[in-house]
Amino acid sequence: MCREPKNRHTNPETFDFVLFRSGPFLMGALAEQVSAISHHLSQSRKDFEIIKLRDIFPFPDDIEKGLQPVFMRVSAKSPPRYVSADTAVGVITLHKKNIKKLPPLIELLKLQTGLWGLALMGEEIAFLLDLDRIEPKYNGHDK
Amino acid sequence: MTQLPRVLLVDDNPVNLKVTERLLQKENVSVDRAGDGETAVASVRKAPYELVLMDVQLPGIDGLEATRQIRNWEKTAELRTESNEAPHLFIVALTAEDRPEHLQACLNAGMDQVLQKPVNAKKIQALLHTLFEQPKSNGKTSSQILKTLEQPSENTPTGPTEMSLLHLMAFKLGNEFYAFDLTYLKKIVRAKQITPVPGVPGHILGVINVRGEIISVVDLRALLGISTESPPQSAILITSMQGIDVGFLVDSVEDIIELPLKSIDPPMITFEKKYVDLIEGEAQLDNMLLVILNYQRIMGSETMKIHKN
Repeated sequence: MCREPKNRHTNPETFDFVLFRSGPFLMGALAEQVSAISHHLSQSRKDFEIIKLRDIFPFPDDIEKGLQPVFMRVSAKSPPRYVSADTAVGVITLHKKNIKKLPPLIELLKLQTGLWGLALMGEEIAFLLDLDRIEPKYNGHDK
Repeated sequence: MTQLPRVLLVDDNPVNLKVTERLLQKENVSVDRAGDGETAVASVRKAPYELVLMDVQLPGIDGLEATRQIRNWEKTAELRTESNEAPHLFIVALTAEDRPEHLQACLNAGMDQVLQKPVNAKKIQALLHTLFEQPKSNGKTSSQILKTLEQPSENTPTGPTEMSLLHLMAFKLGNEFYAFDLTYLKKIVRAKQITPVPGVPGHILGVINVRGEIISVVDLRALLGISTESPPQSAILITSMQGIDVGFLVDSVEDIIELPLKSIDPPMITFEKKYVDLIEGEAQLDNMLLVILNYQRIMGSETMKIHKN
C-alpha cells in the first residue's frame, strides 16, 4: 500500500507535517518532504538509500518487537532516500504558534543536524526532522 | 512601636512563595501569601497592604486580571478620600517574561512596576528601598544626597569578601546535600512528564513544557558522575542565566541557606578530577555536609557548552 501525504497550502500560518513514531519518540517532517509512505520496498531496486530512525536515534532498552516499519520516501533526494520509522501516525496541520525552536541546550548538544524544532501537540511533544539533512549514521556523543 | 510594612505575595508555586517570602522577611516586612488571583483580590479588600508582589501567571484569574479588579475596586466611592482621590496600592508584577509587549500588558493592567524573575535578595532590597525608605518629601536635602552617594552601587561588591553572604538553594542527590547560588534559580516544578529527546547525550533527560515554554532537563547526578540506586527524583530546579533556562533534576529540594563566604572550604577530593572544577567548595553545617556547586562553571563545562566565556 502506498499513501500520498496530504498537502494543504491554504493558510500561510499553518504547516502540514507527517507524524511518525520511532521507539519512544513522536516525530514529524514537513509533508512536502515526503512523497510517499509504504510498508514495503521493491526488492529489485538497489539504487536507494535507507535510513533507519532507530539506528540514528537509539534509546536505552531498545527491543524491536517484530514491528513492520513504514518507509517514507524523501521527495528531493536522488538517488531515492527512504526513512524508516516504527509507525506512521498521520498528517497533521499545525499552526506556527505550536511550532517551537529547540531549547538552546538541545540545539547545542544535538547529535543530528536534521533535528530542527518541536511541535506542541496537547500533552505530547513531537520532534521535527528535516529528512534531507538527517545523517545516515549516528555520530556518537563526541559532536 | 513601629509597624512593619505589610506585603501581599501572590504566587501559585509554593517554593517560589517560600523563597520570596524569606527574602522579604529578611528585609523586615510582614508577608501574607496568596496562591491565586481570586484570593489576592479578596485579601486586598480585607487588609491594608503597602505592596502587592503579583505573579502574572496564576491559576484562575491571572495576575493581570487580579490587578484590574483591584484597581476597579479602588475607584469605588466608599474608598475615596476626603479630597475624592482613589487610594492606590503599589502592585509589582513578578514575571520571567521580558518581551516589551508583555511588560506593557502589566502596566496597562494597572501594575506599577515589573520585577523580573528570578527574584533575588538584591532585587527585593532595591524595590523595598524605593518604596519604604525613600523620603516622602522631595528628598533633596544635602545630607540625603550625601547618604545616597555613600551607598554602594549595584555592581560594587558590598564589602570585604569575608563578610559577604551567599544565598544558596540546597537540594539532595542521593543521600548527599548540594546547593548552588539562589540567584540562578527561576522556579521549581515537580518532576513529571519529561519527554525524552532523540539524539542527545545521556545527561540530557529530555524537555518539559512549562506553560508553553519548553525547557531542557539535565540529570544533575549524571552530570556530576554520581551513581545512586534509583532514588526518587522529585523536583526540577529551573535555572536561568543570560536568558537561557535549564532545568536540573534533583532528588528533593531542601531549603534556602544563607552562608558567609568564609565558611566555605575547598572541595575535598571525593569527586573525580573532571568533576572537581564544577564544585565551588564544601561547608559543614549543623547536621550536614553541603557541597556547593559552581553554577557558571557547570553551564560552561564541556558537557553543557553554554555560557562559555
